[in-house]
Amino acid sequence: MFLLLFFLVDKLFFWKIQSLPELEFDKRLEWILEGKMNKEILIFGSSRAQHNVYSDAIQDSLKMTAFNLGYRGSNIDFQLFLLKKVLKHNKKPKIIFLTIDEEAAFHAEKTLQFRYDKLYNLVKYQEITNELIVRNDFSPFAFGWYCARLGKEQFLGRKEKTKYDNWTAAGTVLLDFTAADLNKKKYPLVHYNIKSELPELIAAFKEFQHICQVENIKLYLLVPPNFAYKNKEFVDRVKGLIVNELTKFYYENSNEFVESKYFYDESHLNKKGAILYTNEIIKRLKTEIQPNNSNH
Amino acid sequence: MLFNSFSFAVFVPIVFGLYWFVFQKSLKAQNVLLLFASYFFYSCWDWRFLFLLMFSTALDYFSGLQIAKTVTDKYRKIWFYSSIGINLSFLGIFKYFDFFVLSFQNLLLKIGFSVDVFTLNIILPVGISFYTFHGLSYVIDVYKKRIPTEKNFVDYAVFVSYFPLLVAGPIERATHLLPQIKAKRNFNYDEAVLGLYQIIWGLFKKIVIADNCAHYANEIFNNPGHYSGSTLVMGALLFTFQIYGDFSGYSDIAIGVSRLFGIELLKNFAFPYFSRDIAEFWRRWHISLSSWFKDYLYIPLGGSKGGKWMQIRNTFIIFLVSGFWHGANWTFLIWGFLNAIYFLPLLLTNKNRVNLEIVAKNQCLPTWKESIQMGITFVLTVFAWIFFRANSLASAIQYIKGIFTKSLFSVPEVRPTFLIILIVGFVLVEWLGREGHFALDHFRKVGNRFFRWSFVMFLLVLLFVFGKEEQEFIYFQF
Repeated sequence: MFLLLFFLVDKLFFWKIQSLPELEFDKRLEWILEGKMNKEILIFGSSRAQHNVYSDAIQDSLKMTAFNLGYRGSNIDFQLFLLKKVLKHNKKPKIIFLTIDEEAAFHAEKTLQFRYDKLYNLVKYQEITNELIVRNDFSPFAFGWYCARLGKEQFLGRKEKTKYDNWTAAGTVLLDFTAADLNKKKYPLVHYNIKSELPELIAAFKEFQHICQVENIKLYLLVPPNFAYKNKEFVDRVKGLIVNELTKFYYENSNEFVESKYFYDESHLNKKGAILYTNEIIKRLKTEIQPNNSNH
Repeated sequence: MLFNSFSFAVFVPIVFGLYWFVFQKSLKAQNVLLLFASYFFYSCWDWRFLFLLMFSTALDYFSGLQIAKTVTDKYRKIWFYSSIGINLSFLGIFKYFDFFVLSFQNLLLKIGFSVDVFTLNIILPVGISFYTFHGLSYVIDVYKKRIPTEKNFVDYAVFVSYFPLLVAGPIERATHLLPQIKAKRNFNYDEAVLGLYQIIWGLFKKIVIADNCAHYANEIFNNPGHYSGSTLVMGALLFTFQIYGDFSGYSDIAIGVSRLFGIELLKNFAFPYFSRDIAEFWRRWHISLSSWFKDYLYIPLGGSKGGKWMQIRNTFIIFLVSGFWHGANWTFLIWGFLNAIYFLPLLLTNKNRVNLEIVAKNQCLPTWKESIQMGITFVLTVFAWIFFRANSLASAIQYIKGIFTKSLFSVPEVRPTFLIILIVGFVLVEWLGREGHFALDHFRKVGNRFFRWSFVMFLLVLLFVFGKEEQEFIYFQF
């Protein structure tokens, strides 16, 4: 009798779960799940995709629809998860840009994680709940019990909007201010430690490429400018991890990026820098895509 | 397999079903089932250490038999001391070897010698301090002829390895647990319901109170230099509730689960934060360990029979050993020493056995005097916990120095409002239930079923909402 009553009480949380997406400013994952992310160009990556690649400019210049799916603090595992969801619910894109975080991309890094928090408000979708259960973030109770899908954050109301929540129409967040802690020190040579790479992140990176290959999506890997250093060993490592010959790897950036005026902090561009960097990408793309398009 | 995990929530009903519905007719079969279930439970942590547990069990069982069989005192002593020696050696090697070696190296370094030392860097087998103490108590009791030797190996092995108490107690006595293992058990519905209440309350303490306090306390204790004095006080308070919620929560779950199998375990906590002096606190905190030390260390050392000086000496020994039992770190020793110091005035004034009953018995509220006494005891306890929690002695001193600054009077940077509300509610429920064995002990006597069920449902919802991540229990490391 008690269990039956508790089962009924639990069902009251259905309404709470349905209203959770309203707590989230960032609607991109919800749009993906609702099949509203039908774009020709998609940009994946961490904050270095979110802030450095100006998707609106790409859209206007190439006359192709584009959207930025860069998530601050997300790792390659999260980006792979997003790619799978995009392909499951939406038309497949023609081109994907994937930014790679110098140094940190394949290492255990506090600042780059699977962004579970972006999933918590979308637990009304059974596939999201299942994903959280499979990843051991939710207990299997969440499969059947609604209240097991809720956390205390879901009861604390909507968080306040920050300066990082101002998306452009095509999903980029441009930083038109400078971080207080911009480190102006330069490190000419930084070693890359292969031994401390996490195998699961390497596997995710390879799977990401493999999916693009199978789906016939052009993949462009980007290493956006870093003010403090350029890690040649890391670039060589990424080259070694490319499994598809058709994957393009853009790692050389303009010499203009030696100036701090283009940076928000040492590894993120400000608005001016993002526009400059995106124009460089567009130029390269035009030379590669448009001759091919004209042939057709 | 943590008590607060999904796998345990599946494991217990399976064992429960087999125990009461398949093997209910045979006590022998029930005990074999409990033994297998316990070994399975333990091997979920690390199956390799299961062999250590089995060896320790076999050693004490065999020693018990030999002590009983041997007529001459000399051989009885040989078996007794061999068993004690081997048990303590295992504990020493796994728990204290690296501590002693590194302390010795530091000492030499301080007097100008630099030496390379050999450390084992081995993982501490979970529960070793607890099952070793089970075994020791049995061998000592057999040697002292307080109990007869156990001839049935399965029954003895269940006594040592019984899964609810295997990894973090309560530390049982052969005199209390073995007779229950050997007696026919009948399913008692009321006991089972009480057990479920105790499990839910224990889970609430662990998942809702302790784990949430840990979130803030860890941050503050790991970075004491970053916070104001008032925040450091907040950190110490949150750890105070964390350690209580964590360990007493574990004990409640263990005792509650055991009730489901018709076996009563020793009470381990009796609302210690409502104590009026430090002696009362130690009669209410980790009772099974305190009484173990009293019976197997304090009394053999002479207890209080040799006059005041001997009583003081033995009290200091007990507290230092108790501190060291908790871990191989100077911080635990200082914590033990500090508690002994707190105890001293009570010993000198013969007031260490004044407050034997729970505070404000049959009353709603304590008197002003009792409130002040409880407040002082609580503050002393919170202060001692700083040493217990700090990563090192230097870190504890830095923490305390950080408290006594001007910023002590500022508003804390960390103010977890929702958690403070939960803690206030928790303390209120504990206060209302303080005359029972656990806070919800008399809950079934509350007449209104609607109220009871609503309250339990509220607790269950909180458990689900707060139980996203499984956090280990602090006492697993001891």
